[in-house]
Amino acid sequence: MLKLFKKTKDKIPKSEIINEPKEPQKPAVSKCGKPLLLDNSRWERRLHKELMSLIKEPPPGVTVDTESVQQNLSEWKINIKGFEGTLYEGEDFQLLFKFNNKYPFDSPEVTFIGSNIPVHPHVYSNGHICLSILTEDWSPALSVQSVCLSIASMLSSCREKKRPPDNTLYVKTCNKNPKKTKWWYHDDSV
Amino acid sequence: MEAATATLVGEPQLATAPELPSTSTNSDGNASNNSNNSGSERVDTDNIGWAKKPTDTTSELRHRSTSYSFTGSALASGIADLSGSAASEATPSSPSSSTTTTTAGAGASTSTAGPNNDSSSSDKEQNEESLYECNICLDTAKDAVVSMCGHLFCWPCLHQWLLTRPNRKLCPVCKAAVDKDKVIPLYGRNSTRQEDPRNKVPPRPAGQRTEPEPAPGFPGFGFGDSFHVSFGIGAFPFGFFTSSLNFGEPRPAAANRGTTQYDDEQTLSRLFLYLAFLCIGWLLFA
Repeated sequence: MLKLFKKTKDKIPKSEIINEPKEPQKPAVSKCGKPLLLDNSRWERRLHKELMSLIKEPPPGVTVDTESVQQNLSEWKINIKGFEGTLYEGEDFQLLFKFNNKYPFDSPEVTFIGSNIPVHPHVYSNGHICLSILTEDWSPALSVQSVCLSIASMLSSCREKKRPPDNTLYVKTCNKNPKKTKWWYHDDSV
Repeated sequence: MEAATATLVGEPQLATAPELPSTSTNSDGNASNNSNNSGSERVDTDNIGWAKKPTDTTSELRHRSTSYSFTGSALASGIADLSGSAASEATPSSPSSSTTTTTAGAGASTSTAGPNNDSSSSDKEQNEESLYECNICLDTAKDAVVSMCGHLFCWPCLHQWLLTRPNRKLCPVCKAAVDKDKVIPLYGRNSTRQEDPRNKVPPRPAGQRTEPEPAPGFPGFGFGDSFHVSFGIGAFPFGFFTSSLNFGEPRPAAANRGTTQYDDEQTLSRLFLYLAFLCIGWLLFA
């Protein structure tokens, strides 16, 4: 039910993993009866606005898969190109953003999907990304655009293509949802 | 001319719209101004209130200026009009018409730029609007409040955010400290209810005092923020008291209901409860 892994190897991402027991989906209202989110229309409006701005003025190398968004506003597929002059030049990656109804107060769930998952010390081979703004450093002022930009810059600043040292163990034991992982952020260099 | 001004004198009490026909009668009476009036008519489309000024008599202008609201570019031309009218007040009546018409011409020249900008003006408006967007919902801020660091939010949005992370109240934009008492409500001119938006949202949950967090040291051996494990073998008899009854250092405040931290703590406490039962059972039956 509850596992805790500790690793003390070298200085590249380690993660404490907790597989929480599956809980029934909670209603959107907290126990004291106060609504915990923007009402539905405003939540959708924010996503719409972000989508529009992302389509209108996309950051370099970022394109939205509009078809996927039209089917389901809460799951976006975003294509991202490896910048020129970096280790990932010429590669194409696909990100999956999943928004829950607490967005933007709760961070979106962001993973790499598809056949090409970047080999990067902060990206696990199942697509999970170790990036602080995706969990504890999330702020509602961040947007899909800024998250894409952060990920692009994370890829660009990479010096050596390699998987995280605890990749095999993590991939075997982790929850499907990267937000359930207790990430331990300590490496700011990449 | 006299009749026209007489009707105008009575008017300041009326709203701005009814004055339009009356001024037109004035311009009809003023044959010398007719050529310039076509220019000033064009000004109307842009800023009705100020464009009409030059044709009014100066005394009324004073009365009226109180009832106008200055908006955007109208302000600049309006000031020009006022200075022009002040000059006309000093000079005899016949030159006054010429000075006012020149200011009207100036107003027209500024407004002629307007139609050219029509296509871009909508973009401009959008940009101007986006200056006043809430940083959380990205909509025009409603019940606006501004933080000490200068960032604009709807109060409901910010309140929600403060509730989501009760232990880390940070500005979403710049991560400065924010709190209910450290935001300033904004009241626009047309906001009918001059009510503090902070009073609208359901009152805050009971106050909770958080001790300043100890410096983050060794990050390992813990679940999140609220639970720490320590290992050690010792014969010190008071070790039990010092470790389990924390006199010096109070434990961090419990997380708010509804947050993920709260859920985590609940599952943990349940787990330890079961563990305790197991131990007791083992002691009894083994």
